[in-house]
Amino acid sequence: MSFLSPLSLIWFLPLGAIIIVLYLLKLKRKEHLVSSVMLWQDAVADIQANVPFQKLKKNLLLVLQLTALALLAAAIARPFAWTKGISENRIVVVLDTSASMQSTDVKPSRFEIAKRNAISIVRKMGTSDTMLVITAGAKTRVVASFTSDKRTLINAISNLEPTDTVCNMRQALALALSLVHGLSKSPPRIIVLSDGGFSAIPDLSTRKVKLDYIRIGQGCENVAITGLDSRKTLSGDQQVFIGLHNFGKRERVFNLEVYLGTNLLDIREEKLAPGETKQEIMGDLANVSGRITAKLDIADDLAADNSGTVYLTRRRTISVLMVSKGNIFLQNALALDPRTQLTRTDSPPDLSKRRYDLVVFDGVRPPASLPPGGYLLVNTSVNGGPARTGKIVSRPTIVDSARSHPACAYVDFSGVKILKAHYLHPEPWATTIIEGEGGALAVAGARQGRNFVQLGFNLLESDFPLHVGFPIFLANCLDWLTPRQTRTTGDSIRAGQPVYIDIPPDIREVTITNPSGRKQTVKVTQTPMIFDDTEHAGVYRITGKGFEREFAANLSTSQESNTLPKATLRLGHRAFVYKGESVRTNRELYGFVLFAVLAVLMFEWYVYHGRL
Amino acid sequence: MASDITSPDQEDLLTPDFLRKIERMNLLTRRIFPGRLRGERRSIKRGASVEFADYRNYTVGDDFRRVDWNVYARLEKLFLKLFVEEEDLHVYVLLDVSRSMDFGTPTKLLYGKRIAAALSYIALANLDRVGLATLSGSKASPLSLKRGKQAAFEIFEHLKSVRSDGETNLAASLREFSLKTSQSGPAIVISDFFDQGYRDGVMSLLSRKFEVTLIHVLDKEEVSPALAGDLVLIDSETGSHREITVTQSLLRRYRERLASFCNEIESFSVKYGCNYVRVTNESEFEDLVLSYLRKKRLIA
Repeated sequence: MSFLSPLSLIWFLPLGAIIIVLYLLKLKRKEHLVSSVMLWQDAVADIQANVPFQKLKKNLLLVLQLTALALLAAAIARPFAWTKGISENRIVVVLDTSASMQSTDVKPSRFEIAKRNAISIVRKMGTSDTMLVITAGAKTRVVASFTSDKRTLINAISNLEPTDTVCNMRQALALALSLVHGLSKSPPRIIVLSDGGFSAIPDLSTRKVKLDYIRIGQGCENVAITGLDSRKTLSGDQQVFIGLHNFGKRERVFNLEVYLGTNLLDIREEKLAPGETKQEIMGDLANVSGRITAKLDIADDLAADNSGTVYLTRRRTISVLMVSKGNIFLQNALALDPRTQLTRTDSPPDLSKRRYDLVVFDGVRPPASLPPGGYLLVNTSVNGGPARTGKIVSRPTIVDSARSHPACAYVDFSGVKILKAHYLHPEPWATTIIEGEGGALAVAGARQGRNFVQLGFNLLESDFPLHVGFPIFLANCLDWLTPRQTRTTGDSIRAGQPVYIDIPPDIREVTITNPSGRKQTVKVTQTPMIFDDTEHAGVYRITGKGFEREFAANLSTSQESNTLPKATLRLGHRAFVYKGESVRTNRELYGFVLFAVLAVLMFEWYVYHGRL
Repeated sequence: MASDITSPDQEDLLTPDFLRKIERMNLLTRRIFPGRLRGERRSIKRGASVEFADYRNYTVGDDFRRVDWNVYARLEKLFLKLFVEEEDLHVYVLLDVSRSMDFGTPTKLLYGKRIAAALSYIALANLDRVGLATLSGSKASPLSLKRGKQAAFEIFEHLKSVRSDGETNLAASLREFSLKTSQSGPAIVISDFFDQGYRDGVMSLLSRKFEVTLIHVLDKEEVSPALAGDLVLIDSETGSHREITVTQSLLRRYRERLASFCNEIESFSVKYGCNYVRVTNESEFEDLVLSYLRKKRLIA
């Protein structure tokens, strides 16, 4: 037992001295007239004949009063005893909600055990104690602010669910330390209920705060997909990379199943020794587009890391018709892009027969009627086009370019020399992208399903094809003039990270269905829309008016998949070691001491009135 | 009757009804005392009552009228017939009027006065002589011997005029009384006996052939004191102080001491042939006289 306020014991000295002085002072007695004191003399003499007892009796009162005072001073000094599971005045429970807490090495799961521990701590709180509950996942949340209402705390803890994210314990502890700092005279306590599945925190100090680390979990028998990604090769193929790791202590044999959507694409038998890492690469997916899901057919401690999802997008081909008398620079630059399927002709074709994504008219006048599509007009114009041709100028100087326009992105026109050009008179719906001294040299615009980029000069009468920016300009034009169809495939992110979603401008509200089927309506205030409620691994579906997208959140992290609980929590230069004990906290005993004071005072009253 | 004795300024110590009740009572004595005048008590002398006592031989000069001629006829010798003489009795009522008696409700003194008045009236009604004396300090102040019922009111008036005064000194006052009194008889001492010298005083009376009765009057507060706290007890007679802290233990010891004190007096009385009667002022006075004193064979 010790005291929270030991200096208060000093009160005993002056007050005890006062009591002793009062005993030394002569008692003022009330006078009472009696017929004779003869019998009283005899009675008192009888008592005085037994002087030791009488002295003892008088001293007994003094001793009792001093005892009561000593107990009172002790109560003011706030005695406490170290007990198991009883809290202090201010206590913060930090509950790890990361994916590793779903491990079932302890039944029913680590998270349920942690919740039970937290509720047990709540139940053993003193009446004057207050508790705050913080969850530590990818995001830190305060689920119950400082309160002594046990029902509120138990309800808040009972409603907690684990997430499929990593554990940001540093953020949670920083918040806990800032909340308890300087709020109580007695040192507050932070109790961390976790499996230790987070990195060391070297830049935080507990200062006077007491920290208890309660390790949850016993062992690790887990095989995980630690990496999942897709890539496109230069040859145009697509590959899916799957990283596997056995974190357990025994060899595991299992099947790796790969699905395209719901169709089984591949199945492989895997055999992983303890601690072994293995990478699987799946190729020949050039023409595959859609959701690829990898699953491990295995029963282990943690199920959340046994599957993952990535998306494959089939390479788009752009059909290009080049109508030109001959322009090797233009032809080569267009053919350079692997997406293009280039067709060349000398005379204007009948565009109603075949549809092209992009038609390039190089010095050849287009037909009067153009179907919807992309058109690059080089040194020519068309009725209904973005600009009319004006006067011819010699050696025009390029003074400006619209760098913000997608067609001009990353292209420097400042050094381009032009021998001869037409100034262009852009239509109101068109934008000048290259500005000469006397007018526009290139314009761009889109109208009625037709996208135009019109150059007012012959490429062969300029050195632009020799510039680095020329193929970039053409690639920009390919992208801008042939916009992609609405994508239905999406991205894959790490669970807990925010996702950026491109939403068409006319959609104001979308519904997001999370992997567990819970729907959430979100207002679109900006595009791309940022959505961060991605704490559960799986496929999220976003639907809106004529709009459908999806994305996947994967765990895919060794930090969470390695579920071996850590015995030590490192914070600053200190290491908090889990010793397998309950939380040892102090329990104030002043209530019992006050009861003792009352008992002593009653006994003193009993003695004073001579019943003893 | 109890209400009649609640006030110390009572006009009459005894009511006429009560006087009528006790008129036919007698004071009982164990011994026969010589009297002075004819009365209703048997005397050790031979006299002229109707109760035969004895015969004796005729001597010259005897009254012929007292010769038993029937005996002469049978024996031809002269015998005188003797009869028991009946004389009066000297009853002494000694009332302690020290300041310690002036306590209680009613005061022990008033209670003692009423006992003295009642006993005096009973004696006077039986043609006895009554000598009343008040004991205060070392002095005994006797009233002259009274005889006849008419003298009762004189005694009553005297009792009413008595005020408490002085300390209790039974040894000196009783010795003085015994020395002053030539004729012995029953001596009834009414006191609280808060004086260890009562033994010497009583012995003085006994040595002068008095038949002593001790009536011990106590206040109910003295029997069961209702005290609490830290007190300074002041003796009403001496003014001496005694500091006490009243506890249950002390009260218990006081009661034990009181019982011991009473037992001492009673033992002393038994040892020396005295009557001992202990009364408290909370007892009904009528019951005391009509019932309690009769049981104690003090009156009949």
